[in-house]
Amino acid sequence: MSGQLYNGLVRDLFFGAQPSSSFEPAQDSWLTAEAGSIARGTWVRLKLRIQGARVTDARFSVYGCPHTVAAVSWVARQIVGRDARALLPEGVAKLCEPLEVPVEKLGRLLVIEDVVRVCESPASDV
Amino acid sequence: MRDSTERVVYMDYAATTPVDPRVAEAMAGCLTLDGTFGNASSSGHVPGVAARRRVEEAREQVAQVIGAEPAEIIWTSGATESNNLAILGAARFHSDRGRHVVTAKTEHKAVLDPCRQLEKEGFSVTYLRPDRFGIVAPEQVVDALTPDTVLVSLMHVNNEIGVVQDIEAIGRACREREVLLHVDAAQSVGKIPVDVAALQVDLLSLTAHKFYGPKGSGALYVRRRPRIGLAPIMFGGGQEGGVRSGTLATHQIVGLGAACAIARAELASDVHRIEILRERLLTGLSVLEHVHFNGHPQRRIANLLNLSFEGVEGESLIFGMPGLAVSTGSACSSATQEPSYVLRALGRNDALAQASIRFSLGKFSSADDVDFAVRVVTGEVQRLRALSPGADA
Repeated sequence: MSGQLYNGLVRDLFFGAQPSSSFEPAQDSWLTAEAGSIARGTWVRLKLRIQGARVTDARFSVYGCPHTVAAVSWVARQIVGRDARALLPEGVAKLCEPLEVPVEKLGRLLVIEDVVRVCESPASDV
Repeated sequence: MRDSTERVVYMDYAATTPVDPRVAEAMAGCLTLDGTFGNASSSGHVPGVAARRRVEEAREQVAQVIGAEPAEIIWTSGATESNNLAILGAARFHSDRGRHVVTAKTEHKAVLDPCRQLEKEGFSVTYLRPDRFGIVAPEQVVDALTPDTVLVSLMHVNNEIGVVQDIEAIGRACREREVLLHVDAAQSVGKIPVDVAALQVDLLSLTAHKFYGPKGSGALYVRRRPRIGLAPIMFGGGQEGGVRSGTLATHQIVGLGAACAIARAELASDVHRIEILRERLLTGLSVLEHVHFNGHPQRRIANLLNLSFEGVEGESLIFGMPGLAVSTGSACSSATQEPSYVLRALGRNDALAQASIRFSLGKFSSADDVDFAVRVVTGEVQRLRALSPGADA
């Protein structure tokens, strides 16, 4: 796969992605959601700390292509500080432009959107 | 971000090789006005005769590396053309005797696609499935033959996993049944001894750029005793006895000849050194758990190692190692993101097939290169696995 398919933002986000495996959140202040599978080639987990209906921290785990890793990393940064009931009103598709995601990979980004929507649902019941 | 001046370790020799400086020097002597630049078909003047002499010297060199007669060597642009000429040419020429061809699911696309073309022309093709090691048993070939079979086409060494087929036994079986055998030897010539008489092959493809010759230069061995008929697939000036028209690229042919001569002289020492490096690579990577070896543990070529890494997405693994030039799947199909069809044919699931890396070493590989590869691969595999702990498989 050619290196020219990935722009500088994707490279920075991909190589800057840090594992969250050593992090053990306190049970009652964290929300966890995941979607996808290795068999399908894309899997994403988000862990959000929510205080006063706002996201104060976001961690992620991901299995996927470089664009997926970059997109999850980007989303995790963006949603900190946002209302937990409306994490990503603009949708994941808007990420395609700055990350220059090929159109054939849009389905992978929708896995990220699935996880975000799951995160929004229980928070809206609080 | 890595720039073009940063180190890149090349471990994709199975995709292509750098030209040996000695080959480049021989080729350079056939390009300019003060060199042997003439058209080898121009027999009426000195430059043409000089070019013809160099072409025939190269034909002798190619013949020697595979144990053939010079008159049995046809120049082509590479293994893809040689495969097309062999498969389409032989099947079409002999179509009055039968219209069935046997090949394997794990062949290179340069064999599979001409076979699919034959199917469009009304031929039937049997695609044999190899065992989990990638081996096609001679018995499988025999069982697939029918009175209608005119051609069997199998590669000598698989380009993805490096397994070596028992061509000698298959050749014997085909010869006994008067079925033509074509062998794609793109990954074997220059790497293991090849003797067309001992292997009992009728047609054999080879290409220069897999063993330190130039890209765009290859040959097709066509047995002459008895003569194997081939229908040409290119028409024009009638060169190469009418089998392959087109002006002979003297510099390319000289390059192929020189590469053959060097391979013949240095094969044993190269193989020994590369085998040691390959084992060093495998030992170094064995610190990782959940790594699967693809291919046969013994019947394999020295320079190639194919491993699948569990829990790692293949595209990310390659992207995460910009300083290491390796392949996932066949180089000729690397424009697509499909999991390797070879590994899928061996029973690997899509995720594991896609997370495979083919490391292929060569005569310019060093222990430092191997140690660098070990550091980079283990580091990135561990990082990507840490990014996806507890992923739902």
